[in-house]
Amino acid sequence: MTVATAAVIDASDISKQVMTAAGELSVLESIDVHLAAGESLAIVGESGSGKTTLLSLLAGLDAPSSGRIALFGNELTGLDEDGRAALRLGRVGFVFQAFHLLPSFTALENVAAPLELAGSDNALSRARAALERVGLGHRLDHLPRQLSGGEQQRVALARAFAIGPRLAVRRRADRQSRPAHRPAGCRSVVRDQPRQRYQPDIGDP
Amino acid sequence: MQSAHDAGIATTTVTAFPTVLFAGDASVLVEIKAVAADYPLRGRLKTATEANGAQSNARAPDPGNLYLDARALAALETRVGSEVEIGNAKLRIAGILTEDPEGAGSFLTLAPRALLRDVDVAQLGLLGPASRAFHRVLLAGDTRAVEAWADAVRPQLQGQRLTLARDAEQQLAEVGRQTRAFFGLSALAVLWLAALAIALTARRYTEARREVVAQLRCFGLSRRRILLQMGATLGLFGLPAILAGIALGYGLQAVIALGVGSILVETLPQPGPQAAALGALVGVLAYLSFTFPALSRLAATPPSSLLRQGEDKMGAREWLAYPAALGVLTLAVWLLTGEGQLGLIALAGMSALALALGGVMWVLLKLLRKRVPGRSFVLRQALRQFASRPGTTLLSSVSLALALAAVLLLGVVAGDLVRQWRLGLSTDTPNRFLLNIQPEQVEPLRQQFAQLGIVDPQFFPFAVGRLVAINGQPASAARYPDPRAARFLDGNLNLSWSDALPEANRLTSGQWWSAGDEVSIAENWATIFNLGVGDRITISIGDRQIEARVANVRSVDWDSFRVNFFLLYKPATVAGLESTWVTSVRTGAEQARQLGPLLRAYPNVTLIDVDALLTRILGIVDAVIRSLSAIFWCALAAAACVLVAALAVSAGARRFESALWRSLGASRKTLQRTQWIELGSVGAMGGGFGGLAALATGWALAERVFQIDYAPPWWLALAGAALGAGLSLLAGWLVLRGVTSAPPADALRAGAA
Repeated sequence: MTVATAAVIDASDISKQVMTAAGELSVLESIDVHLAAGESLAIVGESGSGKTTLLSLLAGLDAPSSGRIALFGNELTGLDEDGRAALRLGRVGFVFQAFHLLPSFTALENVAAPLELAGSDNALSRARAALERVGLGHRLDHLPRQLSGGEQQRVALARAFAIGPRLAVRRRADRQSRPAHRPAGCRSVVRDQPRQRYQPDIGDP
Repeated sequence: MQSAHDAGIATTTVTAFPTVLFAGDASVLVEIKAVAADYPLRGRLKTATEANGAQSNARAPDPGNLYLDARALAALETRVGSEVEIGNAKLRIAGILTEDPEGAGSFLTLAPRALLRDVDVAQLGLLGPASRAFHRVLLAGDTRAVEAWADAVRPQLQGQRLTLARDAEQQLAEVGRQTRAFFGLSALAVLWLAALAIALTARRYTEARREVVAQLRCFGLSRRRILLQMGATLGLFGLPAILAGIALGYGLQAVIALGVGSILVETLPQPGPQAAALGALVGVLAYLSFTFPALSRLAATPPSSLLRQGEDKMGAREWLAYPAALGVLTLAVWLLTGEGQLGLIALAGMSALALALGGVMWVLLKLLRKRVPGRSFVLRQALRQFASRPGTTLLSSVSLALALAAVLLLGVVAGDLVRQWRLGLSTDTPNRFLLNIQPEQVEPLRQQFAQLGIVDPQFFPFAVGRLVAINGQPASAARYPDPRAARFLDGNLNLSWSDALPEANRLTSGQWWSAGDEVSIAENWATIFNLGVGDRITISIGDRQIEARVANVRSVDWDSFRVNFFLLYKPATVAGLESTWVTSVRTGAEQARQLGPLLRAYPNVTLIDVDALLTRILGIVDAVIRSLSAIFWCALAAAACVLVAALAVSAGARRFESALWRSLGASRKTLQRTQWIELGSVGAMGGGFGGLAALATGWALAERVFQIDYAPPWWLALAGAALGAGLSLLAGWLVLRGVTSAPPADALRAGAA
């Protein structure tokens, strides 16, 4: 089902309950989120307040207990995980808190992975270009463990933006999440995205 | 014998020779053993009245009676109490021979045995002049008296052989040692693979507990306490495994006993408690030495690793610890079984094979990594995954390759080689040998053969002599390094004479007969005694000594199954020598049936059925292959354990990577297919190389040992690849099931502070 608005994310009245040993725990209750193209959204809150759960729901990684979410105009309710994966494919870029690079893949292979997954013909050359843009053109064949923490972060950014995502999702640790701490490479990536294609960057500071 | 009696030593005589027994139309070649009434001097004879029936102690048979072993009885389709024809006489079967103290270790006795009394032999007319028979004098007495007598008699021996109990024990021990060595080697291979699986599992166990240990050390727990605590936990896992292993060992022994029971006359002995003790000792040692490196490193985890999470890489000490552990284990097996040299050779051989296979696979992985082929994402990703874990990929593949190579070699190639070798014997290859033919019987036999349609068989005179001198020097085994020399010098030497060069013989040097006393020698015999044309050899036959010049050297095709001799004399050189005659013929099924009744007129002639003999030998080979196969299937199971352990080590990382891939938009199906292709490739590579290794070994055996044109079954490499892929997928299904369903939200949460 396609919703009428051009919203990137359109969520209304979403709730999430999880079962724990102590019984049912309500993590989120009746949340509405509307995010249009070009907008940014930061989710801020106390530890344990449900920021990561909300982010998972909005990015289509998890399904709400009730309420409805539409991603790029497509209703997520009723889709199974593979259906939601197909919706994310080539459209959502993630930068994880611990970067989560594939440890046995080189920097180039890591950045090329989502491109290849999306069926890009020139995945390797696009990945190479993305890495050169974040200043890692000389580190293409290095494994993650051979890179410093900052370099790993830049590879993670290159991977998220190489696909030209319509939605960029970034989860940050509580302390390193100030916008001023965003690395230079990341800024340059954000700036380099063609304006009309660059879509909201939502985060969970 | 008189001197023995004087020394208080009891003696008895035994005569042994082959002959054919008849019962109705059935006949069987047996090894006759004619004994005196006081046989045996030591130990007991045991007989039974029906096959597998209760045994009872027995004395030597009365005249007119004989004991037959169960095989002869079955071949004659007769029973205890009925009569058999032997030569000119009929004897009653008085019992089934189940135990003969002189015939211990009858495993390799090819012909079934018949025990009868010496007084009957003369009456049977089986032995004529120059007939082949072995006469033995058995002595029993006080050990010192026997040894003193032996020392006194030894210098007087001429062609006779003196065997003391300890010599016989040595010979038996040698056969036992070789057999044990072969099985020990296979068991060692299983042990190494099992040790590898233990090492991998221990590594996985300790890696998962690294953070806990770092915390415990932060709290102030000593390394020693941690080592003890973790060691105790690992011990709890190890103990049941060792016990289960011992139980499995006993079970396998029972299975092997079932498999070879029909070939062995005696049943296999049950393993005693020392087998369990040995199993426990080796198990504990393997377990300790292969868990210790990972455990000691775990205990040494620095508390600071909590603050700085890096990858837990193996240090040089640990890398060295594993080969050291392997060395300790091999050394232990050496000390426990006395098979050290073999163990070292096996270790070197298997390491070389593993290194060669590993090297080729490593190059393949590197090439693959550089340039992943294919346009399909699934295929590219699978091959990339496959190439991106070279450590576990190589371990799994090489283990699989070694185990599958062994299984395929025994399961397919060995049987195939033996079959092809047998088929390779040409259709006119003789399949019946006739020995002990008296000179006056040659012409009648030739005519009767012609009537049966057996065309022009070659008859050879046959005499037995002893090599006494070479170039005028007394022949002594000590002068020839080749161990076969002693056999020819101690034992009897079969020889013949002929005007013409026999079939299947070719001159390699010298001329066929010229002037003077001459002899022709076979090439391998010339090598053993370092002889050439012009050398002179002296043999003694009865009271004659014959010296002759080596006129030529022949190459002999021993596989031709024709009558062949190492020594072939010019007839004039050995004129007047007493002899029997031998021949070999090729018979069809119908001719073979008629041959039996025909030979009743010639009771002294021994018929040897080569087909039956080959079938019996191949039966033994088959039984050995089957028992070894059981061990190699264990090796395959151990390789599967390595595979499972290697996959289990990577399971955590794989689960996380799956969550990551799914967050990037990969469907579960895509990930599953990627995993299947990756696992299939690992297994197929290992299995394929295993199949190739088996083929290469088979080809080498065909070239070197069997000397046949072997058409290697190339499908074996494919079968190996398929089997390896199947095993790998099965291991994947066991260990990695559900990994691809890891929820993508996990990727977002992981690493959250």
